[in-house]
Amino acid sequence: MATNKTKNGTGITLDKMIQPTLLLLIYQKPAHGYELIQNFKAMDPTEVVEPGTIYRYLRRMESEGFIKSKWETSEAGPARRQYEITMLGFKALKEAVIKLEHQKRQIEDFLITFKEMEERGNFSEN
Amino acid sequence: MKTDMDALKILHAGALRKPIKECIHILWQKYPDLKVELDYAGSRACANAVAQGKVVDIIALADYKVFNDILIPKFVDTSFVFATDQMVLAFDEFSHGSQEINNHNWMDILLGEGYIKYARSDHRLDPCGYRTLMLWQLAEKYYNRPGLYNLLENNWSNLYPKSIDIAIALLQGKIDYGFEYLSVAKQMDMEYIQFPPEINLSDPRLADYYAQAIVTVEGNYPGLEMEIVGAPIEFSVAIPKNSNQKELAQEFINILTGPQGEAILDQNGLIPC
Repeated sequence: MATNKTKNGTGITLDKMIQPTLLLLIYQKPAHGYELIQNFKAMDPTEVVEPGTIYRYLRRMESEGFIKSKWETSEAGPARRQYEITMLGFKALKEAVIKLEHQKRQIEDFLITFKEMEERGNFSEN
Repeated sequence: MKTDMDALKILHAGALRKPIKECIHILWQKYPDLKVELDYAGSRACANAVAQGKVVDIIALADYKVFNDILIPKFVDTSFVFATDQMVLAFDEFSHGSQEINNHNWMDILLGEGYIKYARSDHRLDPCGYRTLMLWQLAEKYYNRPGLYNLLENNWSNLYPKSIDIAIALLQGKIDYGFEYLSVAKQMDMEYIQFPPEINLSDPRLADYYAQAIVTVEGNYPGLEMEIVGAPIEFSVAIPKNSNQKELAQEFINILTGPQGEAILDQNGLIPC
């Protein structure tokens, strides 16, 4: 599980973003695991997800029908399993987007409430 | 060795011994009378054997680059990447210093006492060998310890033809520590130190960083040398052009790279990919 701990110990869990992130990357362009791991870092450099975790997610997502794979041979390198999104995967991605939009609104409400309280001087650091 | 024309002949890296055998048992469920001839060595030794005329139906190696360097395009069209791994330092509870060693002081433990024996495999025969040399080069940079590579390279006690031999030597008490694949350490139920991703050759995100490490080995022609550049570990499999059992070989590869093979690889400490 990818957890970002703040200085004072509050955990922010990011593991629920692994599957939607992979679906989005594969929806953008069919890709193999090696490439997806490299691009996963580019999307969120603060999140550390081990390569093994991403490979396991890909296998699980394929067995659940969200993605499908075929062997893709590159000119210079070896053949690697390349993943593309399925209709079921696209529906799951859209569902994730709806949930994320809902969560985004909740986070925005949370931040607005916090800032308003802070401006009113409700908090003082000891 | 006398060979059976009808047997399925598999040549593989020593580190893949256990998962390959388990995949054969799945093939036997469909073909109970199928004869299988298994042979194994360091991956470069395997590839050189095929290049020198050894006829096999499947060749599974610990580095796809060995296919590219020695077998493609003359003997193999392409190889298929099916698993990844990482380098670790394996030992057991009887290894000298096993109570003190950790992922910060491992180099000091190995180099600190003259009686500690540590081993690597032969970089000329086995990817685990050149990956160990790469790990040492990267460790020198990562830990900012100038001279560490030379110290480690000048003080190993034993050199083995393939990585699985290191594990066996550890079990027999011939050495205290060995630079090994995580999968082999897990299969042999050994203790191990995990290295940071910057030096363990496991992470594609660090491919450029790994590429700073370079090992020179003998080339394909006498007197010629070639450089092997550091890269994430990737195991690969292929059907040689001169296979006599191409359909059966493909069935085996379908098992190895399919859901059953993935479960076997996973259980054996490899990461199917």
